Amino acid sequence: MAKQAILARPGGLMVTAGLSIILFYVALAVLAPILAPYGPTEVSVPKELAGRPQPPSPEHPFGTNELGYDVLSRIVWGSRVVVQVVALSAVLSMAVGVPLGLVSGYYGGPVDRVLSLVMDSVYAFPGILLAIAVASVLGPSVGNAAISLMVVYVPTYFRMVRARVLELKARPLMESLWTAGLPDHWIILKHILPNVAPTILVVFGLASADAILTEAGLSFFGLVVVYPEADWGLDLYYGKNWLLSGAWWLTLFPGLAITSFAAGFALLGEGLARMMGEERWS
Amino acid sequence: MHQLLTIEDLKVYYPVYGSIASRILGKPTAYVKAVDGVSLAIGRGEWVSVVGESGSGKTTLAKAIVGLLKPTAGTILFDGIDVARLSRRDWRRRGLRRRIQLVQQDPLESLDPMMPVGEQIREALEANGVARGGEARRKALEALEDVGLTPPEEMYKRRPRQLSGGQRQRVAIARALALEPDLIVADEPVSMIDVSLRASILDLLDKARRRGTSVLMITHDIATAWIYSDRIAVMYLGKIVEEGSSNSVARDPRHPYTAALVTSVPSLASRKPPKWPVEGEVPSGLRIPGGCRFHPRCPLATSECKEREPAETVENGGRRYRCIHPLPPGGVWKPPRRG
Amino acid sequence: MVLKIDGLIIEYRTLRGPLKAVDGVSLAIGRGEWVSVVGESGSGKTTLALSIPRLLPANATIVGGTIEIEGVDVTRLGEDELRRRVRGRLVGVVFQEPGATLDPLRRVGDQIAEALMVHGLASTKEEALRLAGDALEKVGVPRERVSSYPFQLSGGQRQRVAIAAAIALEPKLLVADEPTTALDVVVQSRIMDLLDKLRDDMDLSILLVTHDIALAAERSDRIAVMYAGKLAEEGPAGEIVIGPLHPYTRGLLDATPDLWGERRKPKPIPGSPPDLRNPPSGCRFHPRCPLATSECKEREPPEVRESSGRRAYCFHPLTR
Repeated sequence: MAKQAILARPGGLMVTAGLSIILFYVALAVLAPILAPYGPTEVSVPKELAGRPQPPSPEHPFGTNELGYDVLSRIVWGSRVVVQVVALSAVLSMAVGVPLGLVSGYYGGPVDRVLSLVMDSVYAFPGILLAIAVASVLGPSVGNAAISLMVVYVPTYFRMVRARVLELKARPLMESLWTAGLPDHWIILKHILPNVAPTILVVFGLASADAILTEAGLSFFGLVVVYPEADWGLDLYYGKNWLLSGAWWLTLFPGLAITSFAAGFALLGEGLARMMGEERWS
Repeated sequence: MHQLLTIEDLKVYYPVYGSIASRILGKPTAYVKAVDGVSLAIGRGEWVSVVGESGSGKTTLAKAIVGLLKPTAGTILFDGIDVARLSRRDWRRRGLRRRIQLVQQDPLESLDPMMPVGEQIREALEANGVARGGEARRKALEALEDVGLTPPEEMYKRRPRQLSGGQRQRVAIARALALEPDLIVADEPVSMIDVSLRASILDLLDKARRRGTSVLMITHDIATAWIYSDRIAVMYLGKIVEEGSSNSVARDPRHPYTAALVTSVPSLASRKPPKWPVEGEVPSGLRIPGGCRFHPRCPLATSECKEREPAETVENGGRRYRCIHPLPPGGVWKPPRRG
Repeated sequence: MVLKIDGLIIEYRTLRGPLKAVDGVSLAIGRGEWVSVVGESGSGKTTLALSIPRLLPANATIVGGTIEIEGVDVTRLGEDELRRRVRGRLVGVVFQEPGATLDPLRRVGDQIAEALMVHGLASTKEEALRLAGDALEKVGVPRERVSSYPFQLSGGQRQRVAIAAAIALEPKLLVADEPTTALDVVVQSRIMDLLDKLRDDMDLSILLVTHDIALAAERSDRIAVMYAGKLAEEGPAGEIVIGPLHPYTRGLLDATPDLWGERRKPKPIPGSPPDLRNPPSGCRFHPRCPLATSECKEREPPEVRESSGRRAYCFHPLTR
């Protein structure tokens, strides 16, 4: 069944669409020097036009800002920041959340109770506020932004993994593994982890979608990079000042980039969830 | 005979927390007495079947024997070791995991869906120190071949979903047998298997028994138990109500419950006893009737049965039962009138 | 004839390709007659049974044949007519799990009464509840139970209530799909007694689906044995179990332990049931059949008929 055309399966279209969007932005980030028509801080309009944002034109399909920077190029260059922050934070959150969830769920007991309490308290905080709080303490940088996001998303991975482990523990499979005489660490690594992996993928999709929005929030407040470095959230912040003057292109295009990238991950996560729901019945 | 397994007065109670307060305080409001004073012995190379309906406690008994549950009271002596008191780690350290194997009802649920079945046998061999590396792989292939999964190299790589139900149960048995256990506890090993394939699965266990492995089968199917086992123990609401040689229990029972059970089983025979008129169902383990626990359903019950719990009667030849009005020999053919 | 199925073919669309779960099955049931359809998993017995009240899952299609109940071809009816004229009225259905019939959140009496009122068999709620109480009494459940919720009943009682709901509209045919598989054998015996009594009291025809050929033999007038979507053999219950014509029936009998028969090890049938997406050519049983010849691989087996009305589909029918 795995060999079957991915599109024909439930959720297949969503996964394909999601992956395409994600790969598109990743490619954009990697190939920015080749793809971007201008540098991120290159004054790309004649001197006399600088000082005022210029609307989209054939040379500047997304327009330019008041400093004469090309909006399209800044979105291409800016993708590097988002992709780095989100990828790094996903790796960090998984590296912390997944092992803790596995151990907590498998062994139970007081350690599980304490960990769950801590994770639930963090989870109860609004993500964006928590991220801003942590980032303000750490100061603006890509690495620090990733750490702030990690703090927000570790509980998500932890809770989902732990819940799935508890579900597995109630199955006859676990009795069979125990009576087969397998040691605990082996059961966790060779049996529980592979069975939890699909869930981790789904959480990765959905948490990353959310993380992109949170990241945009952080950069909006200048907590990721400092202007004039290219960054979607930051461009949104400076672009908003020109909204009343009618320069819509300064906010629309960065905004679209943020939401479409987030939508890519959301589609991936949701699609995978549907695919697995089907798998259980086939 | 030197017994391999001796269970004595085993009790497994599940706490019930009837209110939120009781749960917070950790004080159960009641107990479900799933296994309530069971004694049973199994000799080497012997096949004993525990027969009972849902709610009889037979699966709880099996789980206690393989160390998945801590008994509330009583002892389980396995080759002289009281396994009822051992911690999970001690089970492994003393090599008991290898010596007592469990075969579960649904192999799709008891095998890991993500791992090739051969690997699942191999890891069990390695974890129990039976073999390592290439040797373990070779033994796993042998085990697959022994249960008729051929070609073994091809079967080794398959995942459980790529096998049929019967083949999956063969894998589960192959894993158990590969460890050369002294005792196999089989919990309804064929109830999920198609009728036409059941005998082939049971024959694998029978082959192991002939090589000296003891088998404890848990089943609701007394006809199958009768054919394959040396002895049968009939459980009702947590107690063994009758136990003895397979033929005597299944064909000439003393306890009215056994009589109801054996006459309810559909049969193709032209000469068979009339069905015993037993109404109602097994009550909940929370509300075990006083006196003889079968009295509310028993067609032979008298006021005495309500008042005192029947003691165990032991016949010559080892058959035992708990009943105040046991059936005479051949009594199963003369059911009491209904009403 | 109450039920007349002719040349029925039912196909499922699945992720891994289409499969014919029922392939050219014909079967008839007379008034007050009890016919059991016996088969293993994947034989198509449940699909056959559920096609009668047209309760098949959405990915199943009747691609050929007819199903006539009291002269009405239900394969031609729309959903609305099926609900109004067929389900409950002509055919009552009992499933393996009574939960498939009973709503856990409503009193059982209300559930039966509702059906009576929708079909105009009772005009007031009081009358409907009284009739629901009658239906419960018919199946051996005290009428006070009308005000019970399903969870307050035991497994056997729930199945009795499900049977009461199935017969409340006095259908001509009761289709029971493995109604006692989830129950204990003592309770199973009582439920079978109940079906027998209902047949006598209401002149009801019964179609029982079961994997247990001994149960079928004890209780029914005729047995139809199915294998891989096709009928293997059909005829009077007594004759089939004493002298089966089809090697598969023989195999099934030899594989079944019999407590009151000879104490011998059951004999398994070699191999395993086929994948219906890719069924064997010719006779579908040939890869597992001890009597198979090259002919069996190549051509569909012919129908063998006996004067008693028995029929089997086999090149090499067994003789008695």
